Amino acid sequence: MLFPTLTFAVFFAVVFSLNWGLAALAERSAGCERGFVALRKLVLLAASLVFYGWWSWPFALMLLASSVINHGFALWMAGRREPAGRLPVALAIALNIGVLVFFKYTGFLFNGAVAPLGVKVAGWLGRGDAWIAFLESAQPFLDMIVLPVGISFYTFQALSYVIDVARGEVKPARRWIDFANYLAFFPQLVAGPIVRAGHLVPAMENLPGTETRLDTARAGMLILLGLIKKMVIADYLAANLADPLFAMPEDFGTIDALMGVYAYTLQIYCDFSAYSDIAIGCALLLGFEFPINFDAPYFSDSFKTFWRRWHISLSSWLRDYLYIPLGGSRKGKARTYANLMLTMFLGGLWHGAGWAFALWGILHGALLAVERMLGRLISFRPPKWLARIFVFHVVAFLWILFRAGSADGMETFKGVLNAFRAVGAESKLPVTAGVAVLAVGFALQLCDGARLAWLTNRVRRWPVWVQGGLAAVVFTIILGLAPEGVAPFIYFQF
Amino acid sequence: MKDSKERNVTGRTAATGLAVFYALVVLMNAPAMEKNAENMDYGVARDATKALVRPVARLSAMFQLDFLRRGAARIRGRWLDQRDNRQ
Repeated sequence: MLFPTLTFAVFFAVVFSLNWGLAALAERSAGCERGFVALRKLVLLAASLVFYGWWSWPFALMLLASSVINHGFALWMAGRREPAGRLPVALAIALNIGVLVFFKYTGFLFNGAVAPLGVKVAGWLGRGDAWIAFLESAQPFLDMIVLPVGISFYTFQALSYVIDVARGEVKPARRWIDFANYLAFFPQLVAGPIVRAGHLVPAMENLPGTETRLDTARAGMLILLGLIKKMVIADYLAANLADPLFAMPEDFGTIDALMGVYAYTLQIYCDFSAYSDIAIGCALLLGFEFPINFDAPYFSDSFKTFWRRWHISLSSWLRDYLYIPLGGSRKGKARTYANLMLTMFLGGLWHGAGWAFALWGILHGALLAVERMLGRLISFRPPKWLARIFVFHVVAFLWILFRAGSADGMETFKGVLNAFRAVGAESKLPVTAGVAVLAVGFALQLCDGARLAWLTNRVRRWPVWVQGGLAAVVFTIILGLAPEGVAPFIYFQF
Repeated sequence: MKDSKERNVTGRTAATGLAVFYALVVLMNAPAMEKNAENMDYGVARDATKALVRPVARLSAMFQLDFLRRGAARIRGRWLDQRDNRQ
């Protein structure tokens, strides 16, 4: 189920009504309140399963199975301390990573590593024909593997739960359904933000009651902002600038290549941050608060700052569960740089099963390492505006690799680089409208984080029916400006 | 001055805002929704959607409530859907 659709609008209205209706019933009915609370939890879980099952019911059941297994591991390891607690946490990590690797990386590992290596080895052994026959017989099986939407996101949430329980930082959920609601909660289920167990499990155990004050102004503004980013900006940039360039880069010249790369840079920001904004807004209306996931990342004046502002929930996950356990910056300079590279390499692979994603991650890791090294060696600091322009352009250039990784591979990457060389070629893209939409997309970062607090504070003072009426007007304008149909969010594929 | 967060509302009050939002969205977009329903696959869903939306679409068209949607779509057509300024 996609957010900007009529189906989701109806679905959300039903879930919202049931959530608060059951909360009111629980508080009014003396004696049966526990039953109504249990029913409300069940309704939330059912809603999340319907939301996910809209794509695939078998995968919704797999999500349910994941919640049962991970909660089982958490109960097993609760109260245990190392070394007694090592076995369950190792098993839990192996199982979660194993499932992720099977669905996401089997094809990549087989076709990108095992098959080419095997051809050489079989050739030396004189068994080339047998190896090719094996590859042909294995291909139909590989083609049958379908990537479950959002598996990377909920696997990381499950891992954070079991690891935090093993570390003693989080207690296991009181009941399985509380953990299942944390893992499967529909607003952030398929594309984040990756919410930590310590934050959301307690909220799922003690559901917000009718006395909870909802910040409708902030929720409404986040949802509308997300819809503008996705339906007006991202979808326009994709259809009119980025997709044409990346589909046939040989047809375009320097200006178009530049426009196309800027377009993809802003498309991926608008697309992904839109999902997070809508997710945070929907959760707020249901009484749950998520942390922000984007904070004007293209205004960053260093690569370190960029990763603190881009997909914050993933960056902090990688820091807490990978970089720091690897030793972080505590084991010498060389080890720090290696840890940065390894963390970013795995972060790149998390995004997609392909060498282009891995290379994208390694290059970002190298940039972080070099920046850290130069920061220690040189006292000179460039002006902030210059640093911002530099960081933005390097990040934008690396997005070419990222986009190529999710499309036709390195040939697309080379094609776009060649397009930059075709100086003087006539522009084939809509320049005027394109530049205007790019400017708006870039400026929308001014709405990230707490930058719009002054407006939210003002809207909060209006009666709620005025807020609803104004939101309807803005939403109607968005619908009018948006192209017909809704493209899936980019991060669904990860 | 009072903290504006004190103006946050309960779920019940938020439901009023949400109801106003849904009602106005349907009123202002009903003709477009009817057009979209025309493009659905033949079947019960299409018939039901059309039957539900048609009366609202008539009301909306009668009072020109869809002027915002049409105006925004006109802007899109005039400015955003131009493939190339030179053509």
